[in-house]
Amino acid sequence: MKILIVEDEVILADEVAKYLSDFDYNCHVANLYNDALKSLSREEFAIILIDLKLLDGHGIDLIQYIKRKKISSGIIVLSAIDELDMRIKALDAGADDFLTKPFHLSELNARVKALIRRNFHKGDTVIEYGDIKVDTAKMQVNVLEGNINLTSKEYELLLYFISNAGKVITKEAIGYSVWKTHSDMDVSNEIIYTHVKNLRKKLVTAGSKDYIQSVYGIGYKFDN
Amino acid sequence: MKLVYKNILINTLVSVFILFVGEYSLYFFLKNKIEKETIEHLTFEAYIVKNELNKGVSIEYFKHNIGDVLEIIPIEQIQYKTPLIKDVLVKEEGEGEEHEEELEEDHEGHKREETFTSKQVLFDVTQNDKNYRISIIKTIDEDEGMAGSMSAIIFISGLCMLVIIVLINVFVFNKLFSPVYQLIKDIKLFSVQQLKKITPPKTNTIEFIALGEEVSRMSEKMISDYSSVKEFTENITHEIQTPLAVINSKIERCLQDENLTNEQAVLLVEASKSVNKLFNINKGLTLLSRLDNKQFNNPIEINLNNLIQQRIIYFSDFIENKKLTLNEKSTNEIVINMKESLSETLIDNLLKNAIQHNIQNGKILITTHNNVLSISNSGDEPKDSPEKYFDRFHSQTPNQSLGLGLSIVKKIVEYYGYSISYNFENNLHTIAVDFNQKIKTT
Repeated sequence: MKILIVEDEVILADEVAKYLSDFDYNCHVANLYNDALKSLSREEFAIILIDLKLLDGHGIDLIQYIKRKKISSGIIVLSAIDELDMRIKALDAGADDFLTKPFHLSELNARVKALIRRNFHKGDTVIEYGDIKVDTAKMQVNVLEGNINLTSKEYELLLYFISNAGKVITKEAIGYSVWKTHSDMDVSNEIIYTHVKNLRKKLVTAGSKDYIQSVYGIGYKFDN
Repeated sequence: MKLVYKNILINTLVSVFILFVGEYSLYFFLKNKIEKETIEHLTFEAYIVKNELNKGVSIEYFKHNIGDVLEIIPIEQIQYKTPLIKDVLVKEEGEGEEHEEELEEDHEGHKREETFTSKQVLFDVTQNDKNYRISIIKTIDEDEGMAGSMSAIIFISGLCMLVIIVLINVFVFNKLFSPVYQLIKDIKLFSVQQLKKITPPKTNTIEFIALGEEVSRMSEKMISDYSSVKEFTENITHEIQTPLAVINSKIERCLQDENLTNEQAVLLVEASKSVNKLFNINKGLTLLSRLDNKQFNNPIEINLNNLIQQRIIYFSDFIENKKLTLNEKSTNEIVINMKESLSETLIDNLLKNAIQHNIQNGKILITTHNNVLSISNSGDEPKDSPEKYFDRFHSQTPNQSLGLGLSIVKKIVEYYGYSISYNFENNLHTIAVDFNQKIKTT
């Protein structure tokens, strides 16, 4: 799958590209508005990540251009401007998702995966990872064909883990993504610990292999 | 009081005062003059009578030839060689307002008695070895009456003039000052967010032209200042956030390194936390400055009770984690007009404050009563003065929070003209937001 990253901050664009490349995405970086236009005329992308403030143009205009040209790529806006008005503007223009800077790469990855599921696997909404099967349409989780009941937080936690399988995920990133914390309220380690513990227990009890590993001082890793 | 009425009031008071004083002086001046003339007249008459008598004219002759009331009384001894003038009151019976001649002729049989202020001249003469006292009386009332009528005419003319001046004032003033009224209206409607400067009203009065131009210039300056502050806020948000995002993503990628030691991992996570803190400070300060610059429009109707319910669900994990007991009491639903994102920030920060500064197994009490929202939480007695709670970067326990939450709450509350207060009672910290009195925002 091809991803176009339109971001004027060269280092950030490279970081994003490197992280996403680990999940078998083919990433292409455009640092300028006009570069993005050139790339779009040459290739097709599954996902386009767009920074709103570019040196030679505005992200909203780019979104409108993409929609005008009837390019079917999914669009995620990456913006430093965290305002409801801007969100609405971007979504109205045709963006599919909106992520505020600074974001966690694991969060971006989860959003990209979710968007790809929505856009390209219509009808096929099931994600599989080892013994675990998640039906994202019905919000149902099966372990070895047996249905298990998860709370909404545990469900989100599991999806987040699967999306970033193989990567070390910080507790902060989990707090940000699952509890949508903003401002200065930290999700205490205990809250995350309790939820991860419960999820782990439910999965293992149902017969799944234990994929969740604690990583000292950092957080967790979901891996075989 | 409108300027025009103030002006009229002052004008009227001064005019009426002058009119009264003028009238009063005029009346007395005339009265004095008449009296003097009467005295002169009588003295002259006395002189003539004396002269004629000396020439040998019979006393009887004068009885019929002097216009004024003449009395001749025989006396024993001469008393007044030089004429004596004195004031007398002449009592006469008359019927209503009759002329003097008639009064003189009909001496008897009248029902009403009238008194006239008069002057009398007395002098004694000798003729044919007989002494006589001659008295001439001249009534001055009718002359004074004339003074009165004259004064009255002038007074009425004065009043008429005053009324006309008042009317002219009302019309001319309103017309003359219409550019000022227009300007006041424009200033009232002026909003810096609309980026539309005040246009000076059309007028040819030099002072108003100057005023209009100055106001217009000021509005232009305000707009440009506002725009540059706004631009700065937007720039700083963007320019700081992007490097922070870079730092964070670098750290995140470092954390994926399998050769990372535990110590290094902890260091990286600490660094990442500080970056997040920096990001949150930036975000909080940006919000505060946007509130200071009044950059929020488009309020919508918000039911605070419903919003609180939603946000409580969101915070439920945090409440459970601290094993807090949550109680809610509501006697009325609070509905306000506020920008949606701000109302959420308001409630979130209040709830966050109540959770974060709570103790294990503590209590949270949320009440809405008479349009006052109170959120209380258990906690130790405050060490600082309550006012400090709303200060920026005020925090009782170090490293627990940024200390921006309550100052943001206060700013939002004040932005919409409501009031906020803090109170500590029965080991409960209570923050109450009063949505009743709408203080006019300036």
